[in-house]
This record gives sequence, C-alpha cells and structure tokens, in this order.
Amino acid sequence: MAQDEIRLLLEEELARESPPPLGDLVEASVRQGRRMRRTRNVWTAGGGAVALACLMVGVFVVVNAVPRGTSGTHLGFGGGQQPGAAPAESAAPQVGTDPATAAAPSSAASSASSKAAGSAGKARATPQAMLELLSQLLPQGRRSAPARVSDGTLMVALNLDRGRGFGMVRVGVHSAPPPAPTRCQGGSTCRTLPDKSFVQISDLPDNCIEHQVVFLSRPDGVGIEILLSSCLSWNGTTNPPSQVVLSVDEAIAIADDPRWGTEMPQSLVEGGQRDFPNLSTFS
Amino acid sequence: MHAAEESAGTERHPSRAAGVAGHGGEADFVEFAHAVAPRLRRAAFLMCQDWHLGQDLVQITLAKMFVSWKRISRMGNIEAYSRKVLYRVLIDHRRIRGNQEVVTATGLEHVWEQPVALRLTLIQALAVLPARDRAIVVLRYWEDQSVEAVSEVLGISTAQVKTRSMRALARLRELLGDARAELLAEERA
Repeated sequence: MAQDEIRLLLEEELARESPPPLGDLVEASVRQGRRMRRTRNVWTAGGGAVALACLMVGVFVVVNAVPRGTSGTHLGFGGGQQPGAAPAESAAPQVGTDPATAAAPSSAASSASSKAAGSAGKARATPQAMLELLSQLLPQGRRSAPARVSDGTLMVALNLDRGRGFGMVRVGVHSAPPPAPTRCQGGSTCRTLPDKSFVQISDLPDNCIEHQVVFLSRPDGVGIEILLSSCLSWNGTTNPPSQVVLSVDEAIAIADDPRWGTEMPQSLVEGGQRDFPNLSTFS
Repeated sequence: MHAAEESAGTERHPSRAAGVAGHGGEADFVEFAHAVAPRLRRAAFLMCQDWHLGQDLVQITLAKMFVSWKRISRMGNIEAYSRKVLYRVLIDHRRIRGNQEVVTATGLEHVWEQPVALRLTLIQALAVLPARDRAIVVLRYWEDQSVEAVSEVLGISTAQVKTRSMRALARLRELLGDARAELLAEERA
C-alpha cells in the first residue's frame, strides 16, 4: 500500500543520512528540565508571595481606613478617593495620578516618579519602531526594502548597501524565550557579554536567509535575533544571492542595544510611524 | 554509524516498558528518554530537515516532559504523548521563528526545473509542504498514526486531516514526478 511504500522510501532516504551523534541529549534534557522546573517553582512561589502581599496591603488599607474615618460615614474606598482628603494621605496618590508632577521634586518619591516617567516614555514595540532603531544602528549606506513579517510577530527586514551591493538584515525581538541558554547548542559558537547577555552565533550555510544567525539573550528575558542573509527576499521567482553586509561583531553590537524590547521608546515608535508608514511583508 | 543505529527496528517502536511503565522517578525518565530520543529526532528531522535543529527540538520536548514527569508517567501511552509534545514544540518553534521562508530559501524551485540532473528526494519534497501538512504526512505515513490520532495530536478535525493529507500527497506526487508517482497513489483510507 502507499502508506508502507512511503515509509520504506523515507527509511531508505533516512538510512543514507548521517545524523550527528545523539551525544548527551538525554542528560541535557534533564538539566534543561530541572531549570524549567526551578523557574516554574520560582514563579509559583513568587505569584503566591505577590498574592499574599496584595492581601496584606488590602487588609492594612482597610484596617487603617476604619479608625480614621472620623464620623464613620464615608469609609473605605469612597473616603480614600475624596479630593478633600487629608494632604498627608493624598500625597502619594497624586504622584501616581499626574505624570507631569511625578517627574518633579523631592525625597523618596523621586525614584518612584522617575520610574513612572520612564515607563511613560515607552510604548508597545512596533515593526516600524524596530526599523527606526535598526536604521539608526546600521552602518552608513543606502537602505531599501523595509519590511515586516506577515504573522504579526516582531521581526523586520531591511536591505543595506555599503558600496558593494545590497544585502539583507533581519531583526526579531522575542520576549521570554525558552530558559536563557547557558551553553552552546549543536555547532554554534557562543560568548557572554559583560552585561551577562548570552550570544549564540549559528551558521546555516544551506539557508541563505539565515546564513548566519546571531541570537542575543538578555538577562531580562528579551531575545534579539539578527539574521545575516546571503540572499535577498523572495522576488516571486528566487532569492537573489547577495552580500552579507554585517560582520558578526557588528550584528552583536546592534543586538546589544538596550532599546530593543517588546516595549520601545515612544520617540522610536513615533519616528517609525512617520518614516515607515507603509511596509511590505514577508513570511 | 548512527544512521545504522537509528534504523534499528527496536528504536522505531521503543520498548513498551519504557513507553508505558514508570514510577515517576528520574531514572524512569532517563530510561524512557533514551528509548524514544532517536525516533523523536528522526521525526523532527523529517519535519525540519536539520539534524541539529531536530536535536534541539527533541531536547526541548524531553525537557518539557521532565518537568511534569510525575504526572506523565501515570499516563497510559507516554510514547504517544511525547509525539504530541514534539509536534507542538515544532509548531511553536516555527511560529516563534517565523521561519517558513526556509522553504523558499532552499532553492528547490531550481531543482524542479532540472529533473534530470538533480532528482528530488521525498525528504526534500516534504520540505516544500506547509508545516501542518508535513506533520500530517509524517504522522500518518512515517509514524503509522490513525487519522483520529493525527487529529488529536495536531488539534484539527479528522476531516481536515483527510483533506490535507490527500492534498499533501497530490503535491508530493507533483514534485516527485512520474518516477515515484505510484508510491503516492491516492490514499485508500
């Protein structure tokens, strides 16, 4: 039957393959599994602690609100939200509610307020913002064919010509990738940067789009992937061969920019919207 | 050497002892993992055409199983479960990497234009299929899974499995040309 014949053919073809040794695959799985289990336990414990903290804060707020509710008429949430509440109690909420004043002055509130200002200066990353940042980080040269991946994930492409013809660079941003790698996977070369980011460089000579892949895993769980292609995007007939326009070191320097992330500076998001209003897509 | 090792029939269907029994201990997991790893890696290779990537995906699969091994070891058919995890890892990987373009980058189109000089192998032809169709072909014809089992692993309806399976075979037949067309005669399900 067709089913058996297909299997025979596959077996025949697989027998001609020479797969690399399995090596310590099982042991590596166990190690990775232990790490994943540890992470899961930490998250579970952390979630419990956060829930407990929230509960305690809630109880504290309620307990404190009751005796201060003067006549006992408007207690709890209603009382707390009154604009005419005592200044000592309303100071903290005011910092949070008004970002303009939050950036301002003094004492212990200033660190919290600067954090608020920092997060206010960021927005959800967009392909346009990524292209804006990539344009800033790439070396001098002509640029063309800005594009984004069609599946909605954070991956963009841009062609660069440094005087020897165009070559394509793709950048992807991933959040919370699988547990941050600590050792090189099959055939890759790796290095750890001073900020503890782990960089894995893989050569895939039979895949021109991913001719070289630089994957930088930051300690904060963000992964930045740079694909150095030896061909251009699919033109409907072929992937025309091209230059590889960045060295690995240049790609690492680009990936190491702290502005990459699932949130990016508002200025990049706005700049991207302005400079790359219409993008073509690739799959 | 390893090809020979891996084509051993016992590895294609790992021992039932490893696949079914278990007390939830690490030793049981290691025994199970050693038994299924070669078969999982071959399936992963058929899906991604890259032994190293296949190995990484199998490692992730086994690591995920290790995390919940106590629960998994009480299941009836752990081997089937490992297959399910692998295919989800494969699909997730493709989704994360967005690397469907690997297919277009292999230059297979040129191969089709030069049938005499370069004959396409079935493994190469598989690479041209969309990921889900490839998974269906591998599961149905390499792993000997029933339509119902494939539908369960991939989370699609049995009707979809049948339709996509027929479409995938037709595409393979077209790619491989006359020489192997008979091998891929319509599915007689």
